[in-house]
Amino acid sequence: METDIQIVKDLTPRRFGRYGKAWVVFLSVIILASLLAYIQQLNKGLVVTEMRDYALWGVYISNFVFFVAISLVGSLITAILRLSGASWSTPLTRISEIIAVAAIFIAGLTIIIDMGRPERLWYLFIYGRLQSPIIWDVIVISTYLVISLLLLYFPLLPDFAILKMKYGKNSKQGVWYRRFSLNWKGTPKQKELYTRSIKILSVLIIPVAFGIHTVTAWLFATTYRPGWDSTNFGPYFIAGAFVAGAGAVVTIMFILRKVYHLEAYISDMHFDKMGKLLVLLCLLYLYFNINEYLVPAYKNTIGEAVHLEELFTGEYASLFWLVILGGLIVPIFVLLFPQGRKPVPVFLMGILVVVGAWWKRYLIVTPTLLHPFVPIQGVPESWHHYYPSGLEWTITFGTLAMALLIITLLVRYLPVIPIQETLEEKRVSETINQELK
Amino acid sequence: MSHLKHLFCFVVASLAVVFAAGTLYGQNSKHKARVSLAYMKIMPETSVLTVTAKYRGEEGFEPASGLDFEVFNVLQNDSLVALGNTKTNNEGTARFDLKRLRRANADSTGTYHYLVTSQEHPDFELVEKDISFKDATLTIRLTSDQEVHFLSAVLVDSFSGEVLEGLPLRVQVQRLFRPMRIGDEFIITDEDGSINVPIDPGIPGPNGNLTLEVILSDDEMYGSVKALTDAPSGTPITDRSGFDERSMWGSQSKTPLFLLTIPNLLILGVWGTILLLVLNLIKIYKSKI
Repeated sequence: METDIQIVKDLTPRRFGRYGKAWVVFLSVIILASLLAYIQQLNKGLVVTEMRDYALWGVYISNFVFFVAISLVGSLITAILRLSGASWSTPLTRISEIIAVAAIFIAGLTIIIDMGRPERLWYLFIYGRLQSPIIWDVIVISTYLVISLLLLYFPLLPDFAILKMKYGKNSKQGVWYRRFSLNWKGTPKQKELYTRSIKILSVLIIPVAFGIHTVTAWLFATTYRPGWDSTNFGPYFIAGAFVAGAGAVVTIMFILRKVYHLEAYISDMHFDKMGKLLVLLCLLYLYFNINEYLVPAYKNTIGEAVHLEELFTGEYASLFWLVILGGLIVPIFVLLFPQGRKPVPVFLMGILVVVGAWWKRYLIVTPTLLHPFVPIQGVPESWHHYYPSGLEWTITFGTLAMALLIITLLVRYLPVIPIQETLEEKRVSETINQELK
Repeated sequence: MSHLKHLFCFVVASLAVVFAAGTLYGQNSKHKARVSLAYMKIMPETSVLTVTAKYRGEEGFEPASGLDFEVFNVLQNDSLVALGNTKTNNEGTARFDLKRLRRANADSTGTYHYLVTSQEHPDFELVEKDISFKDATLTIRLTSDQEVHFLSAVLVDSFSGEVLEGLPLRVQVQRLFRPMRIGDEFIITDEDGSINVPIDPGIPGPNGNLTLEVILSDDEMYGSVKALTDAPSGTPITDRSGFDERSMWGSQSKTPLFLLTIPNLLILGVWGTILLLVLNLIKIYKSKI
């Protein structure tokens, strides 16, 4: 009983300290700056960006694909590991669900930012053609957002009830937790509905998650362009998304463990397991990368040759090799060894993977657009190159800050490790220990 | 006092020079438009006068657009009858419908005379141009011999009624972008003023109908004369356009049925499950025991 109280105490959301408040202010300032930049973009149009008729998708769409990729983590940790009976992942489920919700929300927002006339968003629903992959993306993103929210909310019900009791009915926080707990008392009927709903959600989110990444890949693969014209793009994107999502989880779980002193709940074992999972996913993604570059290089058609030369030895070579080596090869080598799967190296590799994942999306989107199969005649020289303007960077950093702020605020008010599940797992392990004695 | 007088004279002289220079410069800045006239008769009764105006600009000859012309009929006694006005378009071309030609408007040889004069324009000098032509009648007829279709045409001077021998006619079939020639480039009229051309079998047309044209083109005396006829001597076009079909490249209302059913069933299935889960939340909320 003592331990139960300790667990509840350890896992109860805590107020921001000095650093926490400074972090929120820091993120808010970036968001404010990006809002001002966005107002300027709204007033003057997309001409204030560096996007032109060639690079018509720039940093915004790269950023969108990155957030879509990160959001896959919700299905990986929560659904796939849950269904496969990997109980060690319990402390990581809430973190991954929070990341997934924040990422998919910002992904949707980024699409609106990329629109020159955002007030016409409604037209997508009125005039949208089901033949267009863009409509498939709109449908699947909104569906995935709702499922991710439900997958975050359902497992929170017992935790809200515990927090309601902890804070008391009369405190302000207690009132909110009571409302969100939906009268959770843990009755057999409630438990049955709860368990069944989570099972349904765990199964449902996997095809939808695969759908969102496949459809996002099809946005590119259904157009006839060098670098995109591939039948493998769907699995390639899914593999990349798993890597990015796992990288985000190990990074954030390290920070939360450090800030909230959760060493007893997120142990070295979790980093070791996540390190193994990450290295497996990186190897899978490396395989797809080799496939995506080797086959076109072997065929060496004119369009593909120009594109690959640009990546391997041309304008984007340094970025490309940094992404492949830093974001993939180095993490594989480090994480293959047990010493590399300690918390600090895993955290560092996680950062490398996430940063590499962002630039990888930039490399997927931009160079291809600069070398169309059917070039426009007489375009200005500047259209052959693209580098985001200061305004585009400000807005992009704003979306990154917004995602981090959503995660920060959710972490502030929600238990980052499921309390009820931790208590139950502890009881189960105690029962097994007693039986063994 | 004499200083003032000199100063006054100097100012007046300077102003006069500036004014004169400005006027001269203004006059010189006007372009000289080069006008050409062409006459075309489309059988049976349409006669059109085409005015083309251009000027030598910085990049060679450019169309003189927006130039107004008044069209006159010049009668035998040199009196002018104003027929109306026409204005050049962006390509420097203007068309004037002469309506039906009347014999009374021609001279004793059956020649018609027209005069075109430009109206005042800030960019162009005044210009006039005349044209004379005789009226010809071109009649065409379809015949067939053992499943081979022939197009016969006879060219006659309308005033004298004499057949016109030795004039080059062109036979063609109307197509979407430009006509397609049938037979030789030019077919010369024989002593009867006629030609007889076999129509190639297998020319596609809507429902097998072809619009055939016979043209006397830019003749010095008769201008251009064109006669048209519809002939059911082509091969019916099989419409292979999928415009009205449901397709992946069709509009919203032409979405393929499989794409309407399968994804919508999937969407309904997923959102139905989501609805079920939301209902479960409500059931949890209302659950007592």
